[in-house]
Formats: sequence, C-alpha cells, structure tokens
Amino acid sequence: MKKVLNPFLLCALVLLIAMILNIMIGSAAIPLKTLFEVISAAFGGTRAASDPNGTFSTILFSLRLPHMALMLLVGAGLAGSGAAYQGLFRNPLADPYLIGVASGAGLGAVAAMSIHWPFTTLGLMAIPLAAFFGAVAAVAVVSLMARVGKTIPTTSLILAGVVVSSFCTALSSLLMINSSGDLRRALVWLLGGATQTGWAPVLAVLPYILIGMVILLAVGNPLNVMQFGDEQASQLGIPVTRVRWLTIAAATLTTAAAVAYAGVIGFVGLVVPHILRLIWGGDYRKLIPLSFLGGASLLLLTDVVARSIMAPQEVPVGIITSLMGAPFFLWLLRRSRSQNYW
Amino acid sequence: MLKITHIKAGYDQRLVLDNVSLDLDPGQLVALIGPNGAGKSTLIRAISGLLPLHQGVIEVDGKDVHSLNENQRAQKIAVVPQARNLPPAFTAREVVALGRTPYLNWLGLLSDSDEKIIDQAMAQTDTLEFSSRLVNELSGGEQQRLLLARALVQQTPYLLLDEPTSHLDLQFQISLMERVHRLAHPTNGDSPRAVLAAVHDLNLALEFADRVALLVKGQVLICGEPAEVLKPEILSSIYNVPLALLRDPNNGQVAILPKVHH
Repeated sequence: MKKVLNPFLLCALVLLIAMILNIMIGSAAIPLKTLFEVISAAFGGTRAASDPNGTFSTILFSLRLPHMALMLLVGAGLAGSGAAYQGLFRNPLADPYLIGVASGAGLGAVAAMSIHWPFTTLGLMAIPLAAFFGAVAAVAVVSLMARVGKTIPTTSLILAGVVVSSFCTALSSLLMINSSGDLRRALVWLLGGATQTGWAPVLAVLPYILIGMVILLAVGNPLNVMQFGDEQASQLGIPVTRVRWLTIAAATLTTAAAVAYAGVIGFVGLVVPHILRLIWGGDYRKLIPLSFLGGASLLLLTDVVARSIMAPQEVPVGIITSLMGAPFFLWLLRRSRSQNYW
Repeated sequence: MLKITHIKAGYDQRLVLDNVSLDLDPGQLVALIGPNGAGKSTLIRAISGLLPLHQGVIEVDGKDVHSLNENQRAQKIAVVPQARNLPPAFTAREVVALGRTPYLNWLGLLSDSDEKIIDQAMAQTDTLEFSSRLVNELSGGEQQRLLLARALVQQTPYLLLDEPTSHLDLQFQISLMERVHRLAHPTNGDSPRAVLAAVHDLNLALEFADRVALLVKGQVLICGEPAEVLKPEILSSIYNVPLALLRDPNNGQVAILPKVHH
C-alpha cells in the first residue's frame, strides 16, 4: 500500500474533504449541493437559486471560508513546525506546545495586545511579530535549560518546556486580568480558539506562515543529514549552524503567527508528524510537506468537532486537540521508552 | 593534490597536532598509523575542515580548505566515519543518498543521474541487496560499507577514512581494505582517488598501503613505503611492545607480531 498510494495525493485528498466538511458544518449547516451552487454562482457574479436571500453566501464568504482558511494555515504551520523541531532537536517528542514555544508566543501576543497596539493592518501584522519574539525567547530558554552536553534528552526537553510554558501562561494570565479588555475573549484565545472573524486575521498570518513554510521545505534534506550529528552533516556539505538558526527562525515564526491569531493550540505539531512518520518514514523532505497537509486536515476536522460538540456554543479548538493529544502523547512516551529512544 | 603544511591544531588549550605536514596524491592509499591518542582522528577532522588551525595551511587542489564553504568542501573531500550510533529510521539506500547532498537543489530532490550514481556506489560496495532495510537491522560490517558508499557518491577526489575496520570481523576488515585499495588503484577506468585511512591494524597497513605515515604525539615521525616505516625497531619503542617481523617462507608475505613472554 505504501508504494501504490502517492502519499501527497492521498493527504491532499484528505485535506480537500476536511476543507469541505469544515465549510459545511456549523450552527447553520450548508448542504453540499447548496455549497457548490453558491460557489459557482459567486464565480459567475450571480446569486444561487437555492440561496435567494444571500444568507448562505454571506455565511460562506465572510465567516466560514475565512475561518477555514485560518484553521488550514494554522494547522499546516503548527504540524510543519512540529516536524522541524523534532528534526532539529533530534527528538521525536518535540512539539511547539510541549517545548513552550506556543506559550512564549502567547505571552508575546498578549503583551502586544495589552499595550493597545492600533487595530489597523499594521497593528494586526505587529501582533505576530511580538508573538515571534516571545516564542524565540522561549526556544532559547528551553534549549539552554534542556541541554546536557551536546544533546537535548527528551526528559529535560519536556521538563524545560513545562517550566517555560507554565511561566509564560501565568504571566499572560496576569496581563489579561490586569487589562480592561474582554476577559472571556482572552481566555478563549489562550485556550486555543480564534477570536477574530473575517479575512483580516487570515491576511495577517498569511505572509509569516508562507515564508516559514518555504524555508521549512528547504531545510528538509539538511535536517535528514543532521540526524547523523553535526560533524558528519558538515562533512556532507551542510552549513550546520546556519541551517539550525534558519530552522528555528522558520518554525518559530510559523508557530508565533499561528498562535497570535488562533490561540495556543497544542499537540497538532506532535500527533501529525508522528502518524505520518509511522506510515511513510522519517525523511524530512517528505515529512515536512506531508505535515503541512496532514496538520491542516487534522485541525479542520477538530475544528468541526469543536464547533458542533456543544453547539450552538463553540469550544476553543485547542481544548479538543489537547483532549485528544495528551493520551496520544502518553502512548508515545510509553512506546518510545520500550524502544529505547531515551 | 591535497597538501598539509606545518599545521598545528587541537581542542581548547590542548595541542593535538604539532607541526604536521603530509601530501596526498591521487592513485595512492596512505595509511595513517600510530598509538591511541596520537592524533589520527584529529588529523582527519582537521583535513575535513572541522577544526580551526592555530598554524599552517591545508590546501586542496591549490585552495585553502578553510576558504571553501561546506558544500564546496564536500565536493572535494569525503569522510568515512566509524559506523556508530547511526540514526535508526533510515533505510540503507537513504543513508547512501545523503552523500549526494552537495549536488542537490533547494528541495533536496534526487535526479535520475543521482539515482544512477547511488546504484553504482551500492553495487561497488555490495550493499544493494539490503538497500531497503533499516540501518539498525544491519551488522557493523554492512553499516560500514554503507558509509563507504555514502562517501563514494560524493564523487570526491579525496577520501578520508577514520579507522574503518576497527569494529569489523577479520574477513570484513580484509574485504573493506581491498575495496579502499581499489579506489586508489581502479581497474574499471574510474579516475584514481587519493585515500587516507587511519588504521589500527599494522598488518592491514603493511598489506594494503602505498605509503604509511606514522603519527606519534601529534607529529609525523616518518612517512614512506610500508617496508620502510613498519619496522620492528621503529615501532617497538613507540607502541611499547617488543615486535617482530615474520615472513611466510612460502609466499614471502610479512606480518608484524608482538613478542609475548609468558
């Protein structure tokens, strides 16, 4: 089966299905037939017969589609970053959430919001940047704390991640309580729920995540070579230090942009690369792009669950990913111990 | 030509290589011998550009090794490390393919001609048969041959081997050294490579090397024909063991053996 099915085609197909489901399902369900009619009518500049008032059209183009696009970008970015962090730390349990990067990004974003950055396009773009600096600081602290000699063992990586993560989350909470803003909205965001609707957040994260993704695609082969250690990588033609910084920058930028607009969403970066690795192996040239597709699919589907499980109330999607991801993480931990990863 | 001129190098404050000079020419297998801690591995690391030099210069085809970037260096010099702690998740072929890294595009994709080069190197090292098996299922000898194949697909004129035989059974030691010897003296029309192999076993050096360099306390004490260097009177004092040169009366083959008194 592994050879018959092109992994990219298969994952793209899954993504397509996830995209359609994500658009269809919600507080007002859009039937598949109507969905296609509304979309094709919009291309023709007319209104579909099944949508005389334009209600579906409005829901679709100003709510569902932008939300779907945001979830797609965020899921792709988080899973791709997770794969890259795993390659970089040579540790299959690294994940933007577990190693504290997401919380660091969260702190950065909260700090930016709490000093009332102007709510303009520039302001929107600045929040991911603030999140980026928070995330970079978190990565730096975690990798310094977790380093034992030249390696970063799983236990110390996760412990350092927990410490940094708790600290950042506590600080974020403090800032939020202190600010006069809408506490519930802030809480939803911190738990991993998008708090802004429409196309503005999509356009704000798009450049960061796209740049991050292109760089992550380029470091696939270098990450493969670096699994053999820095010396061999250098002898095989890899500028190790530069690749390391580039990878950290790209993965962190992507994570930060995702967190800034979709909140702190955990475990997508862990679960997706892991499942893909089990099926198609650990070649980062394949694993990273497949993680983009798989992460987007998983988050779109989880988002459907999050929006329908307590409907009409929407649950932050981060709660669902953590509910599913935490047991998965435990299973991995037990499995990896029996395989002597650490 | 690879030319090492009066280099001094080491780690932090400790000087490991103290004024080493050595030339490597295509068509020659040079064996690097010397007791543990003499600096054999350090010399190989230095030649591959991993160590900053306190003094001296290493030139590859007229260019300073340190003036080349990693990619350019990897197209000139390939290193075969000891097969230890290889990452388990790679198949044999994937390991060999990594040797093409200096020639790949930004996505790291292999072309048909890359695949052909990989096939050739795997055929040459008898590794094709376990091409799709995972590295951690392979024996030490098989892993070592993979690393040799990985260095071959780098298609470099210079090849450095760091004690490639040290964890191998006797028959694999011999066959690996035969392969390495053939790289310096190809019979199939390939261009001859310059090979430097750090070896532990003096008899392998005696048997396969064109020249032997004896490294002691970070200095090349003597470099020359195997018969000139591998003399009991020179080596006994260096290895601190009385040695004797034995000759097989039937075919004239010689071997160095320690004289052990019970």
